[in-house]
Amino acid sequence: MSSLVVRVETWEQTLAGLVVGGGAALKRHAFLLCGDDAQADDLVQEALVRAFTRPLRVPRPGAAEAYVRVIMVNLFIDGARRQSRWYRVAPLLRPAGIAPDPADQVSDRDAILSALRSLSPRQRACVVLRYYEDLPVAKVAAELGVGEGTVKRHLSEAMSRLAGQLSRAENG
Amino acid sequence: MSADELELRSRLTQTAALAGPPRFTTDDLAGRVRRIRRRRRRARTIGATSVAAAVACAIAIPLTVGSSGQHVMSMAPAVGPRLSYTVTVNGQARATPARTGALPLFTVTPAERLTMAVKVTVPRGRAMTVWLGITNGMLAPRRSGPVGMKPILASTRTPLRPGAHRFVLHWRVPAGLKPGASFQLSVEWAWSEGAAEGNVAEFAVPAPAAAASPAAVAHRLRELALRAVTSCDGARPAWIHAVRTTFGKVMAIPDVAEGINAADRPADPVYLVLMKGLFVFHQSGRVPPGFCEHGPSGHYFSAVFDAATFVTLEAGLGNHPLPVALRTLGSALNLGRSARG
Repeated sequence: MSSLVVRVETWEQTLAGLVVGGGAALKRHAFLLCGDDAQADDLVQEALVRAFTRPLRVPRPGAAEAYVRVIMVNLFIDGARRQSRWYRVAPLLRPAGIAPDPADQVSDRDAILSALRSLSPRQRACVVLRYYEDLPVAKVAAELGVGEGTVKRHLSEAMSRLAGQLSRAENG
Repeated sequence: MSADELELRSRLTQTAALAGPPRFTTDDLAGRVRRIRRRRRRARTIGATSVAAAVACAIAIPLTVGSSGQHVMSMAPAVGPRLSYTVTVNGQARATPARTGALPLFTVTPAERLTMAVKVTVPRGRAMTVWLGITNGMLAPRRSGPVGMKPILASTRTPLRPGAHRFVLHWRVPAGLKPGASFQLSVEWAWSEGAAEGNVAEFAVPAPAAAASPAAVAHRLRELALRAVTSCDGARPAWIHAVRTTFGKVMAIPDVAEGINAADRPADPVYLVLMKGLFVFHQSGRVPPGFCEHGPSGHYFSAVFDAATFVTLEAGLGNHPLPVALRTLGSALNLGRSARG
């Protein structure tokens, strides 16, 4: 009977490790998803709070980051679904709160952000997970809870749309 | 420009690098998590998310009243000004001292019609837009209105002025609720600079009288534990044990009690349930492929249930046992196979 009671990880330590060690990476991931610096902050915070307010003990810091990323993607997709009206007008708005960049970098950034905004939330999540996080298709499917075929279809459609958007942006 | 994969990868990396540094701190987040955990500690039940999808009819009658001598319970919002409340449900006024942060807990029955009178006191110098409604404890304050509140039982079209405002809410508890299910009456409020949320009261469906027999309790606890997690390897748990003890004794166990407010009724009877296997928490009943390898998993599941309502007070996964014997906490129950080793 001496081994019946459970020792659970200290969530404060896991959270602190996650914020200090992975906060910036999560923020960059969120920034690509929503295209806005302030929203990215909100998204990361909301995901972290949800992850840790659930009765959850995360055994490994690496797994914790992956778990928060999954929550973040799901929050983003759910939020986009609820706020479809907002996302229809979002491409009209410039991202705020970003430090000034060289002109060409601004143009490049705006082009890729605008192109990303033209994708559906699920397509955008697939693109970010596949080409930014560099996850294989199978893992992207696992994180989104969909089949590999669905991910491939989203990626294919996203690539076609991105190609069109980016070439239009470059040609003026 | 062609958007081939390599180029896209490179441009995504460049764009992501333009994101500003995180504007949140560990302390802020940990504080927020602690507040939410504290508020939810008496109301969280596994599978309670379906409660929010309630069949509800609600009429909200906001009336402005003067201050009265009723007990006022203060809630601590995440940020900004505080609201204070008085709650009466079906004629029963319940209040808990604000210093403990505990919510008034009402036991309800499925299909029961509730009439709730809530007095909201808006502090001086602020005008507040207020929403009141039913949630499962997961709240995300937004100035544009609440997310996760379903149904919304009352909302103010124009901001409330400072002072006391009374709302009378009518709601029918969903008929299909199982014993142990719980939900909360929550409030969100927004002012010119921000928004915050809080819980006003908690409702739980108690276990039926027949469930008081040891066999029924054991069955109920086993069901709750098995529903809380999914086995990664598909195998049944090596063992499931439980002990009837008190809040105070559970709080004395290091780590297991984290998230439980130490000031909250240490003499209350609870069940501590322990299960060994390889588990993950799952949210929707289906574990995505690969989740066990990369998601948070653990070999030991622990949960603390309120002995009267079977509401889940705390649950967790871990990989290390503690050197505390169950029998030292109270009378132990064997809910599954015999313990190995």
